[in-house]
Amino acid sequence: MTEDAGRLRVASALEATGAYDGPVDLDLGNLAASDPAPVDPDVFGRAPSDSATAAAISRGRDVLQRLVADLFTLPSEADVNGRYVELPAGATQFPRTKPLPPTEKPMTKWEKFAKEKGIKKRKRSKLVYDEQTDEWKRRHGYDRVKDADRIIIADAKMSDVPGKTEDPFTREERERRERVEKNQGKQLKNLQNAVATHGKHVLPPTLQMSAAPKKGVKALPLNGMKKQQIRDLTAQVAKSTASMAKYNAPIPGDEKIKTRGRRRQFDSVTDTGTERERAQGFIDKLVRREKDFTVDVNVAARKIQRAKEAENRSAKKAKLLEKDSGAGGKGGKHGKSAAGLKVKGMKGKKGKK
Amino acid sequence: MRPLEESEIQQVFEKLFKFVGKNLKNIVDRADQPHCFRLHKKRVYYVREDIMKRATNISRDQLVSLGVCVGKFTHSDKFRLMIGALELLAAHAKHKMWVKPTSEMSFLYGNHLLKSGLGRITENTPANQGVVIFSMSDVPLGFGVAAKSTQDCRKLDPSAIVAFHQADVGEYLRAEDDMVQGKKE
Repeated sequence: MTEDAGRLRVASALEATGAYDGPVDLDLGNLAASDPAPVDPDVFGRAPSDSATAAAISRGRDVLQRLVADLFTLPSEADVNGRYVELPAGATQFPRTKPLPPTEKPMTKWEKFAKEKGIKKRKRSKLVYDEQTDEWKRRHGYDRVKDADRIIIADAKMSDVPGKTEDPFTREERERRERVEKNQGKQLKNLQNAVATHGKHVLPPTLQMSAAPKKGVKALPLNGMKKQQIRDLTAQVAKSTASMAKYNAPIPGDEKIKTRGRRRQFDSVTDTGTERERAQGFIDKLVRREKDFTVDVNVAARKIQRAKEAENRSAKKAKLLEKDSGAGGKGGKHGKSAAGLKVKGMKGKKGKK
Repeated sequence: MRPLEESEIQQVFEKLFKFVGKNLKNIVDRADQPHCFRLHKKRVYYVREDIMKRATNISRDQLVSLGVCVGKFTHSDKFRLMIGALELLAAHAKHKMWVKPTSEMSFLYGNHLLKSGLGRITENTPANQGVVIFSMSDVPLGFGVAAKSTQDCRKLDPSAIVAFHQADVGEYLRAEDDMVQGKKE
């Protein structure tokens, strides 16, 4: 804009009040203004300082002035107390503090039927008297009344043919399995109908995460997973961070996740062949290490000495014997020994006397 | 009940080796009846193989004991020989000591063996060697560790210790509750 010399330039309202004229996000409905521009370190300083604080305060004032200036552009009415302005609707989205109001739940097939027929839910007692055991037992759950698992003997009919009629226990098992399957099918169908009429949001959150059930799709993705598998997966996910969960901030509830370590594997209890082989190997190593095979020199020397002496003795004896046999023959030897005995015996007698 | 792991075998054999030396081979590979070592509730048992195979039918918490309890792993996983190993050690021992009848009782009450009670000793026993201790009538009474070598023993004064006590048969009475795992608790 060029200035004419003869004309007096009148500053605009914005300039006059020093309002901020850069790009600003204004939300008049909430009386909020924010400057989305990145912070300029040359203006606001790289480290906290007095000049940086002063710059921030002055920028804040300018932006607020801009908000006020915009407010005055809105159509207003005069009143006794001053001017009134009708604010437009707020543009900023805030998270809600209160829970959503209850929505109507889609009815299941049975609920619809019950409503039509006027069937009301009635409260049933938790405990039921069991005549067979003469006890009060739970209606459902563990140790319940008429528990099919606890029937030990089943009555047979006269018409039953052994081998042809189904075993009553396997029949019970089969029928129960079929009942459960039938009910699971009904549950799935109810969910599918609910999605068709109300949309995906009616599903429980866990199912929303996985794909919504569609007609023709047989099972839900998580349905195939066992409880333990899901737990393992959760544990795996919890530690799948860059540091392998070493530096994870503690998340409440995470300590309850049980990680399963590797199970220890032991050798077979009854396979003694390989076990013995391994033990032998280890003993060999031990013997080598402890030098148990080395000869104790002192003991060896003593043994050799003793053997030598024994040899000398026997040689001497043989020599003597030879001498003896040369002089008197075999008989002489016998006589000598007999005489020796005699002498001994006599000595003994002498002693007694 | 399970076989010993590598590290456990090492600990058990090293301890037995101190007493029996090379004879350890004869313990592991017996000529008459095959035997094996088994771990059950932190205790090591020396069991005849056919008995061990039968014992596999008994669940772990129901099985109290089998064969001969040779020793146990302590809470800090160190292996300790127990009095049950005496028969095994006595049969294969390399170094022995014999106790005079007068100090037999003292040893059986858990005291160390003094020079005054030493009747005989295997020659060339080095210090710190595992020794099996017998009465003069060759009844095994216990085992321990030689405090002094045979040579040094000759010169010792009568009140000096010649063998440190580790186990003795008196434990069968004194520590009856410890004989079977978990009886005390």
